[in-house]
Amino acid sequence: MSNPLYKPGPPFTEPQAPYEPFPRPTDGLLDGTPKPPDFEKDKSYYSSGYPVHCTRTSGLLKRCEPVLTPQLLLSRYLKGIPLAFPNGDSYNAADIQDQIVLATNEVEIGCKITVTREQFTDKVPFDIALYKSFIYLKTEQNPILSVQFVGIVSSDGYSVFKIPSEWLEPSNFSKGIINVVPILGAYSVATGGGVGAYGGIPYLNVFSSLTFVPGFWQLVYTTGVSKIEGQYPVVINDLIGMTAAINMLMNIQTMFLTTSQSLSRDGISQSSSGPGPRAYQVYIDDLIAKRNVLLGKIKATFSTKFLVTNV
Amino acid sequence: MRLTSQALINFSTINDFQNASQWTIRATDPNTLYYQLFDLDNVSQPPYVPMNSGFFNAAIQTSPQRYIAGVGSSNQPFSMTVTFPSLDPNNTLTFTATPNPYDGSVWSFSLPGYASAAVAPASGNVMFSLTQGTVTVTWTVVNMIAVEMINQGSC
Repeated sequence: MSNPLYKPGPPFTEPQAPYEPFPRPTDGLLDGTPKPPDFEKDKSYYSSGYPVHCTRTSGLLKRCEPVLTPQLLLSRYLKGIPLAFPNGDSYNAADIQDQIVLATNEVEIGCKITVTREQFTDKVPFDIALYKSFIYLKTEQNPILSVQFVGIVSSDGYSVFKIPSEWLEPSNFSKGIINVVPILGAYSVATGGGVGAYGGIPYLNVFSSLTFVPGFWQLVYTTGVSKIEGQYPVVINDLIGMTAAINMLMNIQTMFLTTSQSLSRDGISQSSSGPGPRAYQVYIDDLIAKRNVLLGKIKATFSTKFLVTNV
Repeated sequence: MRLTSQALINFSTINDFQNASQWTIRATDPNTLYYQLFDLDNVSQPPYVPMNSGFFNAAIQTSPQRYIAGVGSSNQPFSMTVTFPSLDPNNTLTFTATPNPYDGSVWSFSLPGYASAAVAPASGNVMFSLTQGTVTVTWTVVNMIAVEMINQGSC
């Protein structure tokens, strides 16, 4: 039974097979230079970016929103807190916008994800243990939205062999994992649903005598937490907002230098005391704890924390 | 000369509008977006002065001057485009802006309503390109647009 022509998914449609197989190595120049993504033909999973593997939503719950605005940052995390320094300085809208940019980059590097859709080219090693596990390939960035190329490219850019996209198993793309499962393609040939791009299986057997080769597989892929550009999962915006709020509060509170003040004159005196440079420390600690928990959840959702290999 | 753009909202006339840090639109609604040009290098005074130990002096003008394009024969002809970038070349949207007849520093362009947020301009940075005579200057404004979806259940 062949695959259905249309697999529903909000609001995405899976690129239809057959994917264009890479030309077999022939005489002349073989261009292995990464190509820009072609989302009509790239290999991707038919679910949304977030929630992971979601194929249909009711629309009753908000899980995605645009980029965090300064107003939203203030209303969510900094209500009741004067964003002012003792010397009269204060955070204005442009400053807060900059803090959001800083926090977004901090979240990206902390979670090893890209918030927006970007393309990467990795060279990952050949590892016989992973090779025998259906060529388990782990990308440097997460989560994968689409794959443009998996193959062997020489260091000077010559493409030697491309694994047909039909062999790529996309169900673990959300964790930055590409598996190569050629046997499924072979079965689909038997049922009449495949294309003539499976002749390379014997070619892959050549590598089974190797153990480890650095920079062997070249991966060209796009990553991002959302298939709709410019949309952020609410949990990502939550993480960005908390990070920005923590950074801003830490900047502000260290400027409150004094813990107590007193004034006296002619037998009349007045004194006051406060937390000084720890004015917002309780709230900052709470935010840090909450952020760390959320950071772990997001990393668990969009990447893998372990890898099995031979040592 | 480093130009930048300031988003304007609730634009009625050249004397009736508000500044905003970004445009917020809904993908499916048609919109006319306004912005004003400023020259970041044309600031009358630096924001901090040495006196008062670096205290901020609010009395000193710190805002950059607005910039009117096409002034002088060497700056003719002039035109401007606004680009919403995307990793997908098919989804990179470019619009030609038109200056306000009463203030040449204020420009606008119109967005149609889109079928979904997937094909509308994406939230984030906006790129501007101004050509005056033979010189073209470009700049990017960070997070200048926020685009809301109708179905916010997944993305």
